[in-house]
Amino acid sequence: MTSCRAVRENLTAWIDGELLPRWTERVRQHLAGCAQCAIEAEGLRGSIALQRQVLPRVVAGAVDTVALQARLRRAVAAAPEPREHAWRWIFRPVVLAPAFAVLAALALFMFVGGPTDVLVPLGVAPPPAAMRRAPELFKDYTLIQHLDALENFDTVESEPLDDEQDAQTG
Amino acid sequence: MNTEADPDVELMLAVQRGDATAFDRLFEKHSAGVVGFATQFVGTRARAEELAQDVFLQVYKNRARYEPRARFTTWLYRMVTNACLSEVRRADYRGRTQSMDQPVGDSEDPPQLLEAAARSSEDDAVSHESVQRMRAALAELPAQQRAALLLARVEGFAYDEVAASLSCSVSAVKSLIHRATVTLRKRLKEDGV
Repeated sequence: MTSCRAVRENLTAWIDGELLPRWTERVRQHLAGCAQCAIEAEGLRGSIALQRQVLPRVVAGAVDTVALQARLRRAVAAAPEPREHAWRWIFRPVVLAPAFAVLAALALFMFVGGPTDVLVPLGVAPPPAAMRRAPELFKDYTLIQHLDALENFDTVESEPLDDEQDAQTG
Repeated sequence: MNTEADPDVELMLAVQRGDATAFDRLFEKHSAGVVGFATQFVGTRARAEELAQDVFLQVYKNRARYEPRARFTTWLYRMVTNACLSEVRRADYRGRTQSMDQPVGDSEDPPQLLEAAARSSEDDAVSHESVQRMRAALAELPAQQRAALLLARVEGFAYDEVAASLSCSVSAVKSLIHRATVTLRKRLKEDGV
């Protein structure tokens, strides 16, 4: 059974015919069995009818449409034409596709590595500053790149340091 | 809704194609309603006329962006309601308004316009006193309730159209209209209407 409170909250919408069919039927059934809610519904129905009759009179009033229209025409004439086409071309695919490609390339260079990383080994771009300061540190760089060459190296046992030798003999 | 059945949509589409006459017709058809609606928020008819002028200027400027998704009036009153509620929120608003209990136009409307309004045949059916009391009770409602009630009772909007105009949900509209209806009923009962 639907409560009186729930029904009363929906009474205005019920009178306006704005309730879903399921709720419309619930309210109707409730009102059939609840005298107090039925009285409330009748009161609201009268109030809504009065509002529909009086509110248009409250809002109505003479408007000097001719004078208002003349002012509006002046305002329209003074208003700049909407420049829809001035910016809409930006959203055309023929503009968007290359723009996205350029943005993607920029993002790639920013986060993965700049164009210099590619051009240095080719000798087109100057080496980084650290390499220019101590080129001897980088001269065997190509050897390290081919690590499999290290397989041919013999194990070299280092000579013990002087103080280690003293400790053993002492 | 079927927008093809709305002649105002056709007029607005004609405005979009550059038909100035169609714009004039829309203005002639709706300007009085917009002014009357706005008066309930801004207090004076002169300020309401300025607001109506701004709204119709917006309609003209935004004509290229208009899409006939709903009735023209739903789109129009969305702009009107936004303008009215912004005006209510504005801090300097209070200084410019007169008492809403005062009959509209008492101080500012030209006499010939008031006479024309007084001659309305509707005066026969609805007493002047009822109108004044209803106006006073309406003015005491919160702005959103007032807007929802006027759209539903005067413009004949369905709840979903009111929701579209107020940018809120249908259930919120249901609540706004119910509370407004109950408050008006109570207030008018106290006044013996």
